[in-house]
Amino acid sequence: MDGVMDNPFERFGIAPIFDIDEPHLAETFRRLQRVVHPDRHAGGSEQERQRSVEQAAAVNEAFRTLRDPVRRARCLLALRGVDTQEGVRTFRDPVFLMDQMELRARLEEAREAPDPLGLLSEVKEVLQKRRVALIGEVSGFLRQDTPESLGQAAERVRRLGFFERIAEEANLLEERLTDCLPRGGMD
Amino acid sequence: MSYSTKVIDHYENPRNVGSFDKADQDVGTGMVGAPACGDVMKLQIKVNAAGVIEDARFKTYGCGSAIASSSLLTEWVKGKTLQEATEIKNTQIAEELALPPVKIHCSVLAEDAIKAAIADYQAKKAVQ
Amino acid sequence: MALLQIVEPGQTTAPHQHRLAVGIDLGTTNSLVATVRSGVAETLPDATGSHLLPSVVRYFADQAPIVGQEARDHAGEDPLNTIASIKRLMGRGRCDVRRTGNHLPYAFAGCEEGMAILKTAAGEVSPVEVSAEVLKVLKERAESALGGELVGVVITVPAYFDDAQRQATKDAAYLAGLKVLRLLNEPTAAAVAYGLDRGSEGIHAIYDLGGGTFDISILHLHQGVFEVMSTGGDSALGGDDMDHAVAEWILAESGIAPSADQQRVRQVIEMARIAKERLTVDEAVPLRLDLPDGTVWTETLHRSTFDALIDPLIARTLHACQRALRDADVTASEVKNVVLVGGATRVPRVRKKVADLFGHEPISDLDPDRVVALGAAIQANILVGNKPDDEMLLLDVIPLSLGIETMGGLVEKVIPRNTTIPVARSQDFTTFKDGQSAMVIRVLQGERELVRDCRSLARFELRGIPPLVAGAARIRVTFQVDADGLLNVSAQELSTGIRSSVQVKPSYGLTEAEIERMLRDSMDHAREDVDARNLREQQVDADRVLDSLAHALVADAALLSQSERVVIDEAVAELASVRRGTDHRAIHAAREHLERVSQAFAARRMNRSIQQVLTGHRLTEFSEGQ
Repeated sequence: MDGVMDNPFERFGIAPIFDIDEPHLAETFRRLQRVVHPDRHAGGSEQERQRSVEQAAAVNEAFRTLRDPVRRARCLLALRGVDTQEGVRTFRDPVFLMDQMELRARLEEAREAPDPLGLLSEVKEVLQKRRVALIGEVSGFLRQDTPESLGQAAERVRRLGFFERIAEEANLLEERLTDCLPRGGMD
Repeated sequence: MSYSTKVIDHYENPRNVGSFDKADQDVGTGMVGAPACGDVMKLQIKVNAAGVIEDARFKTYGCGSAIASSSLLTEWVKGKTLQEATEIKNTQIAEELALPPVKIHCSVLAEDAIKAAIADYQAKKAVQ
Repeated sequence: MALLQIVEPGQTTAPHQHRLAVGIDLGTTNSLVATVRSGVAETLPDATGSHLLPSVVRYFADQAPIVGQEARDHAGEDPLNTIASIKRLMGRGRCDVRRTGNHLPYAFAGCEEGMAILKTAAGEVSPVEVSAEVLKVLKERAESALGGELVGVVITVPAYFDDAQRQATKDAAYLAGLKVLRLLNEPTAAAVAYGLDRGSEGIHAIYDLGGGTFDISILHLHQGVFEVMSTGGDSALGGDDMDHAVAEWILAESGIAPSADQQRVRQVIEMARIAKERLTVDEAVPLRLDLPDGTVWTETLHRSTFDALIDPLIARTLHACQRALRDADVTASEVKNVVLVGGATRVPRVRKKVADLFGHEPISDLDPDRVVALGAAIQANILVGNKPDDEMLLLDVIPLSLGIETMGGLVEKVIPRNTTIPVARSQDFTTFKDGQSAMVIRVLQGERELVRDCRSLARFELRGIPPLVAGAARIRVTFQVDADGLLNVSAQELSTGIRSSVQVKPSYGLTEAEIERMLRDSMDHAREDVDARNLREQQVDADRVLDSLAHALVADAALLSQSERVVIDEAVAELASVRRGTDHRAIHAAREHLERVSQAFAARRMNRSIQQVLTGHRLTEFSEGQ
């Protein structure tokens, strides 16, 4: 693969900053895929088609990174040499973790409550607010671009990791709550 | 192959789920989290005047291995001194539960949790 | 520059000649073939005027199989040799057969663990071969209607088909002598046929309930770009199941034991199917059955009873719809249009329930039986090069997560579901023994954490790992899913750069060797037919490359230096020359040579186009190749 193009910002020809023009990003994505997508190279040689698959996959990957604020932030931090260390560092902020436990407990309670879907949607609203606020902080820290502020940004990204997990739990719960199928159908 | 029977046992019949009052002078609270998988663990110990852990409680949100690791740890620390509890290694937990490689970090989190609880208790005592 | 002026049959200097391509809907109940003629997509009928070809194959001990309506008409008499709904067994194992109960009342061979294999009067056949028989008929129909050989075909598959099911479809096409340009997801094909992208930007849902499969796709459409946001469904749920629900009711009401002889059961199922179709128009339908004891059983089936029988099935589809909406992060009210596809959507109860969920009336102006084939034909027409300026782009997704087995019976997800394809992800592995030269990676598809709850796809055996101390090797395994939704695994040891060879052992499919053998076996005059087929393939491939290159040279000759151009022209002349002959190996070699010498040119063109997108203006100077 084209080694230098592992930088998604370069692949899309945009400046490596957090606040990006999203419509422009989507438009660039469509234009790039129109050039590289395998459907455009169905008549080519084996090598050309393989190259097309690789390029299209790389464009898809870059778009995935750039369009999601959390992934974009991780990428920017990595480009600046800051590893968010999510795989290794145990998170210890007690206030934050307490809040996490409370939110998870609320999800558990929602299941038994008289209006589970209502409670669930309340929790989802809270999650969304927290996430948006954290992303705002990340944006600010990245813009300052000092070693301390980048460290802060990385810490906020670690927090966002927890919110991603709760969001998954909330979705799973919603699926279970809306699952009103009679068991033992045709299979 | 599946989760080991011990993991399943701790997952289905967890021991010592619950809480102590954080403000209680004899209680040490450790809160830790793993950002990569979003696991959150709270582990609390109640320590007597002789420095022995009388009782322990935990609350964990996470996968089966995380719950089992913290459940097992609360069992193990009961009756141990703070020093002995500090010496528990995650590898012992992992071995006891036969955790597969991808789940070893759950035992690390449990080890971090007990150390945090001990540190919290000791900080309280230092202030007194 | 005069070297390209030779005009030969099969070789063209006019890159915009119309090439024969078709779209095929290989359905559970019926199959169709369609093409674009004079700018219009249309399905092709057989000699009697029927557009639908029942996907039924009847095998005999002493003659070639019969396909279609004639086979279906005699299903009741010869149930074990008349194979219908084979789509349900594509890419499936013997163990899956049991789960379908009496839906597939055939005789099976083979072991528990492997692919499902049927025992017929003509011997043992795999689902791939049965499907190939259907495809052969469609191929003949198309070539006779269009007066020439097909250059390529787009075949549709349910969006929810996994890798094994897709590979089986491609294998069937290969056996039938068809060149597959793309496997296209059925809901996406329908969206193309409806031309939903031509309206204003929006989010659309395609609800596709066929004979044996259900798909729901949520797409974002904007000016020719179809971006699938999420897809869901059930590859074992369809109109057939409605027939079976009614059949079970009939058997129960009439007192016939479910274990009655196969003929009777097939007849009851057929009766149920007709009743279902009648109830689309009528409120009640009279039933009449001759019982084994000589009496006659009569009953009236009311629509309300029918609705109650099928409601649990519809509920399953709606559940999948809700999950797809959640995965796409859109609400039902944000969906602009919901389109109905597939014969089973004619059932009024289905339409009502779908309208209830999405909050407005669904669209179904195009014939729900034909719309998928039409969409496939439109894409085939573009892929084969008949419309070089068409901006249509289909960005589809992988429907099920791909993962690998790790120690402890756990699945580690490598590519999550609803990831846009093509996609490539890498994982690094190491050895645990000194000098270890091989490694097995087991790939599964599914959402669950444990291996036993997911579908096993294949074992990938990596060989040729260079001998190193245990733990020293860094083997990067790349999982690549292409635009057809098919997985390709490659591996490279990073410290030495040595690439491992990868052998694929599919769990429920055929190896390459097995397919080649089947191909040879299917030819009566083996030797000559194989040679003739090879020759045709090489000629078609050669034409394709010559066409494509001619077009490229017209557009971008400026990207080549004089000396580079001479090399390419020579290779073109060489290929054009051997193409006139009958030596398929020589054609193959000349084509490979041409592809090699023009590879840098192709890469340069792509890079230049990419740069144009990024900088937004035309570059007139040519840049050095990579």
